[in-house]
Order: sequence, then structure tokens, then C-alpha cells
Amino acid sequence: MKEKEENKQSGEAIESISHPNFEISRRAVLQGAAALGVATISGMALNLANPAEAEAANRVMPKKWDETIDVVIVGSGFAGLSAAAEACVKGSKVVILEKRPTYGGNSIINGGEFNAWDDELHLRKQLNLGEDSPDQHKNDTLKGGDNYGFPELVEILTSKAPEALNWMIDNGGLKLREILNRTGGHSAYRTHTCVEGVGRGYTEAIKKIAEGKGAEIRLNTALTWIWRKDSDAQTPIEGIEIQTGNKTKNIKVRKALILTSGGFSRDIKMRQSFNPSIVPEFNCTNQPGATGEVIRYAQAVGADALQMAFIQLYPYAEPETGILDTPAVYPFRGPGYGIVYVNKMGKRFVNEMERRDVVSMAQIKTGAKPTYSIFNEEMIPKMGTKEEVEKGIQKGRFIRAETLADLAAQLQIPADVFQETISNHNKYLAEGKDPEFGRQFTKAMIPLTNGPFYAIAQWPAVHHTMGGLRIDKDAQVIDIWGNPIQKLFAAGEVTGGIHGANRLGGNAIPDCIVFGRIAGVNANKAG
Amino acid sequence: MKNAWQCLVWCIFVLSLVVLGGENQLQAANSKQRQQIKPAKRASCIKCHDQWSDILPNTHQLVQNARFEACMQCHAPQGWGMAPLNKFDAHLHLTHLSNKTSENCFNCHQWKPGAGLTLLGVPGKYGAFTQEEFNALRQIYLSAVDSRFLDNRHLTQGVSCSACHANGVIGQVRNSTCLSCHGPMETLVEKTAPQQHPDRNPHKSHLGEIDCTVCHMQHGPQKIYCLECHPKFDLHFK
Ligand SMILES: Cc1cc2nc3c(=O)[nH]c(=O)nc-3n(C[C@H](O)[C@H](O)[C@H](O)COP(=O)(O)OP(=O)(O)OC[C@H]3O[C@@H](n4cnc5c(N)ncnc54)[C@H](O)[C@@H]3O)c2cc1C
Repeated sequence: MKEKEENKQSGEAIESISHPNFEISRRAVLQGAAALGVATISGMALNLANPAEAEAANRVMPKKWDETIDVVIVGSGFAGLSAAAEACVKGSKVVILEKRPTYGGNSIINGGEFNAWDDELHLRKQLNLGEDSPDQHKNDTLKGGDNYGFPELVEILTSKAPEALNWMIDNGGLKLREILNRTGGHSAYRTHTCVEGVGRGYTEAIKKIAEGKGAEIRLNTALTWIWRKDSDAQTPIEGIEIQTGNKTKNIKVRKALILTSGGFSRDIKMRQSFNPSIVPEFNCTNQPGATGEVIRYAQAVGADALQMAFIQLYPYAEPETGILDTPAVYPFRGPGYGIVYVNKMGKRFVNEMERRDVVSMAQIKTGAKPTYSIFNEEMIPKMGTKEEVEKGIQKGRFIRAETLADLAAQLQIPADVFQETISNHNKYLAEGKDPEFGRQFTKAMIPLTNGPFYAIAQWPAVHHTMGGLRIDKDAQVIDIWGNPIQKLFAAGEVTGGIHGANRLGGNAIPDCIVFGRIAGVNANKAG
Repeated sequence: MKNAWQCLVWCIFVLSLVVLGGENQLQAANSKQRQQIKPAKRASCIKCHDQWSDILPNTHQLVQNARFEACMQCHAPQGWGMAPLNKFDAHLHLTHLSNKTSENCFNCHQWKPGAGLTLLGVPGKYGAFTQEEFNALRQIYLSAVDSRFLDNRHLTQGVSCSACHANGVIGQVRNSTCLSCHGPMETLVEKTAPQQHPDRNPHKSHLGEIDCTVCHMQHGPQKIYCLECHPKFDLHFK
């Protein structure tokens, strides 16, 4: 009886909708529907992927779009934020999609090292650290990548790096430390560090610029497909499929789609499929979202990808977890100031000025995990701050001792061998010649004579994927026939062909920001 | 299907209560509009509870009329947050939904796809929900009345849905909303400051200001985001 009554009630409830309050909302709903755009598209969507993969099952173009956005950017790291900042022009709706619940990707956790041959503070001149030029930076970068990088792209990176740095200082409130480092593979002191000592210093600055101009960041929202009808060079990207929670939406992209989804170091299957030596047992420095699905989606609509086997190990990660924390940046900053690397036998095993791939392989060849970076008190203000080092000691990351013998005891390495290694290195430095490993000594380097002395353990972990989507100098994505795909751009670690076989430390931030900005500017002209 | 409708009705009820708060709504509740409401569309406790005055708390003052209009004169929601009168909304839903005897939202509420949710016989509305959204609301309400998640903890403390989802906006709640009761942030930072490693404070992470809901999910289990990259950190919920 009661149930019947309830049904009657609900029936009534549904019919009786003529109250004035409802009129308003009905109109609102109609307006909403109009805003969604009613254009319909039908037929099969382009899909060059392997249809056996669930990710790439046969796809039918959506019948209607749930939303229209002028410029959609996938990924909220340096590249995505920079693209958004430039894509925001009057009247243009710019949205960054981020699949993680927090913004920033690898960028916000990065080590804060930015290479530029100059900056508006002219730090190199001020600190009296010698000469540099865009060409010198370019040549180091090409050489450091075994000349697999495309010179015309590298030239853009190195020539526009100072401008990118100044842009963040002037418009985003970025602050730099008054230090400059010469890091592995570089022939000049050009590695800048932000005050925060982590990538957040830059991401916050660019986010401020982008949001100030009206860009919107949608967290927990993943790109799940790119809609394109066919692979004709004139056929543009139509839109995308996105997913938030368990909700799927189709978005019409009016002007351009910019892919800035980062690298794939955390995609164990993918990295090993391109480079079998990158076995699953390796630790990884990256955030959990560093997977490569966006590269596959782009390939499925005709994009070309290149140099996918070039995957970099970071030589100085925390040995147990692979994390690249604040202390783990010191071994990277130190070579220009005389830091020494030793193995468990207390011996040097590589030229500390070497590139990351060389140092990593030399460590693996020692056959005993971990190896150590050794420095002294005098080097600390050159590489970082006393406060950071104290914190690192508390966490058990840095080890401090008054004497080299005591340091050796704490590290449980043979003290006599270790002391001999250091005194030999001091002698080589004084003489300006390293007969063992050919280290290129400079005047800025400090001998390890005065304590206290410090050590930090280090071991390689998967760090950077140099390969990715093929782009041209306008950041347009190039298809497998060599033509730009209309309305599709990419920038940052998701792209390939810039760093070549090995990325020099501190080159990724300028790469992401310079090409992110180029993509943002050009995206606006594309629609 | 029938269940869904019932839930809708209930959600509407709660939501309407909320809607009624605020100056605009109070204005809408003028006597002219009230007269336009046909008696059949008025919701009243007496429909199900013959002895409806028995179900009032002992301390409740005597009421002549069981219609929601009358209730609303005192229990109109006070906007959002922990206003004491908002407890009425939370309490009614808890008692009606937790024993699963009256899950028909439309006993008290009125709604149609795309429209706002109203309380039968009371002017004012809450949000504008599609069918899908309404189903989600209903489902969340039904789960929250006895879930082991934070949504239940809020509800039992008298914090109704609308206390956080003001104006019927479903989706992620902003930090400022959480902090209006649990803040300011500095006190939370202090509360969770680790003795040994001061910079491993989950409320002051190296990611800058992140959304409260990254860890403190309401309609599902909470999770400690830090542990995704720092599995060895000694962090747990109290
Ligand atoms: C620990 C660490 C330290 C580093 N230190 C330095 C340094 O000091 N100097 C330097 O130059 N370089 C450094 N690097 C390298 C550099 O940080 C990265 O190459 C750079 O951050 C990449 O930026 P990005 O914008 O291309 O991608 P990211 O910053 O990684 O951003 C990409 C974003 O896209 C998101 N995404 C991926 N797939 C999807 C999808 N399907 N839908 C939606 N979103 C998606 C990801 O979640 C991520 O947030 C470091 C890297 C790491 C990991």
C-alpha cells in the first residue's frame, strides 16, 4: 500500500515540472546544449595501431562533441605550461589536461638545473667563470649526444635558452641562486640553479604566467585517444577522447592539440621493447605517470617517432629507491669544483667530467653497488647550501667526517687505498694533469685537503628518454611520410631528435620551455 | 530503476534543504509563491508517519504542522559549512537512508533531468543535474550513510553533502572549503610535523599546495600520495 503511494508520488514528481523555478533551469540546459556544438561526424577513425591491443581497438569517430576547446595541451610539466602561457591570447580557450591528481609531472620534482650560455644577471661574468656562447653550448650538446641530435633543433634550444630563463624571471618571479656550475659533458660554467633547488621554482613561475593569462589546468584527466579521419597530409586532428575517473568525454579541438606528456622512463614494457638492456630491475628517478601511451596514440594517427632506444641512466640516484632527491644533485653539480667519485675499493673509476652514460656504465662495471661522491666543506657553497647538506645528513644521505680515514671507516671502504686515491687526485689537480682518467682541470676546482669531508652514495637509475615524436623547428608533429600533421604539435620529453644518444644534464628544462613556447605560439596560428 | 528514482527523491530532499539557505532563496520563499504550490505537491512527514510528532526529538518544541515548509522556517540550511542547523539535513538523510526503508527520493523531492532539485512544497532549488549526475548523487548518498569513508564521518557529524558541494556543484571540492572547518593550513602543518625529518611533512610537501582530496578522498578510501614515490616514509592516517 505504502509502496504504491510512493510510486504515485514519484510519478507526480516527474510530471509536475511547470513551476517557475524550473523554467529557468530548462533554459539553462538548452543554452548548455547549444554551447556543446552540434556538429556531427561519423565513420571510422584513423587507427594505424595494432588492433589486437585493447588500447587500440577499432574506433568509430564520435557522433557528437561534448565540449569544444581552442587549444588542448596534454601534460602539465615545463613544456605544457610554457605552451599554455603562449597559446593564451584574447578570446582563446586553453586547457591543460593532467592525468595525475597533482600538476607538474617530472618537471616539478626535477633537480632545478637549467643550462644557458647567458642570463640577464650575467652570472658567469659576475662570478668570473670564463667564456661561453650559444655555439659552444650547441656543440657540447651535439657531441654529448654522439651527433644524433638534429643541429637545427639544438641551435634553437641553445640560442633561445637565455631568453626562456629571463622570461621566467621577468614575468613569473623566478629567482636564481648566485652560483653557476660546470656539469658533466659541458665545456663551460652554464648550469643555473633556482633558489628552491628543485624544478618547482620554474614550474610555479610558468604556471603563474599561464594561469595569469587564463589557462586552465584539469587534474585527474587523461588523454585516451586522438581523433583523426585519415592519414592524408591535409587531414587535421579533429579532437580527442579524455577520461576523468570513469567518465569519458569527446572534445573538439578548434585550433590545435599540443602533446607535452613527457617521457616513458616508468613504462617498463615500452622502454625494454626499444632497448632490451634497460631491464625491469633498474630503479627509476621519474614520477609514476611517466608512461608512453601518448606516443602510441600519436603513432596510431600517423605520427613518426624516432631514436626510441636512447634511454638515459642518471648515475647519482639514491641506490636503494632510485630517487633523485636534493642530495642526489650534488654529485652532478660537483665535477666543476673538484668532486671525486670512488668505488667500494676506494678507487676512482671514471673521469668525473664525463657524460651521464659514461659515468653510469663505469659504475655498473665496478660490479659493486654503490659508488660514492667525495667533497669537502669548501665546495658546499659552490654547489648548493649548507642548510641542504645538514638536512641530508639528518636523513642519512650525506656522511660527514673530520678526516679522510674516518670517512673511509664510515663508508666501510679500505682507508689506505682511499687516502692514496685522494692524495693522488690532489697532486694531479695541482699539476693540472690527470694521468689516470684525463680529467680536464680548471682553476675553479678545489683540492680535497681540508676537512670536514663528505660522501654520498650513488647508483644509476632510469632517468630520461631521449627518443619520442618527430617534430620540426615549429614544433609540428611530423608523420611517417615526412609531412606535418595539421593541428598537432609536441614539445618536451615526449619528442625525440634533440638530445641524441645522451642528454646533457640541465638541457631538458631549456628544451621543454623553448619548444613549449614555440608550440604555443604556432598552435594559435593553426586554427 | 525504481530504486534509482527513490534515491533521486531523497537526494533532492537533502539538496533542497540546502538550497533554501542564503538570502536569495529566502526571498524566493515569499508568500505569493507559496500560495502557488498546489497542496498535492507539498511534502509532509505525515504521509508516512501518522504519529509524526512522536518522531521528533524529546527536546523539540511543539509543532502544529508536519509540512516541510514549516520545518524550513527554522531548519533552512545556513549556506554551507558546519552551521548547526545544517545537521537537520544530514540527520534526516541518515535516518531515512540507513535503514533502507525509504529510499524513494521523490517522497520528499522533485527533480527532472537537467533541472534543479527541490523540496516538495518549498521554493528554491539546488544545482541542475543530468540523469547521470542524479544517479551518481543517489548512489553516493546511499553508500555514505554506512560507508567506511570520510563521507560517512562527515554525515554522522552533521555535515551534509551540500555543506561541501555548495550550490549543487558536484566534483572536486576546493581546499578553501575544507580549510573553512579544518584550517588554517598552518595548524595542519604543525599537527603533522614529523619530529625526525621536518621536511617530510605531508601538509607541506615539495609539490607545493596540492588538493586536500589527493589524499583525503571522501567517497572512497583515503590514500597517502607521498608513498607512491617514497614507499619507505613512515606515514599513516590517524
Ligand atoms: C628527478 C628528476 C630530476 C631532473 N633534473 C633535471 C634538471 O635538473 N635539469 C634538467 O634540465 N632536467 C632534469 N630532469 C629532466 C626533466 O625534468 C624532464 O625531462 C622534464 O621535466 C620533462 O618535462 P615535460 O614537460 O616534457 O614533461 P613532464 O614534466 O614529465 O610532464 C608531463 C606530464 O604529462 C602527464 N601525462 C602523461 N600522459 C598523459 C595522458 N595520457 N593524459 C594526460 N596527462 C598525461 C604526466 O603525468 C606529466 O605530469 C630531471 C628529471 C627527473 C625525473
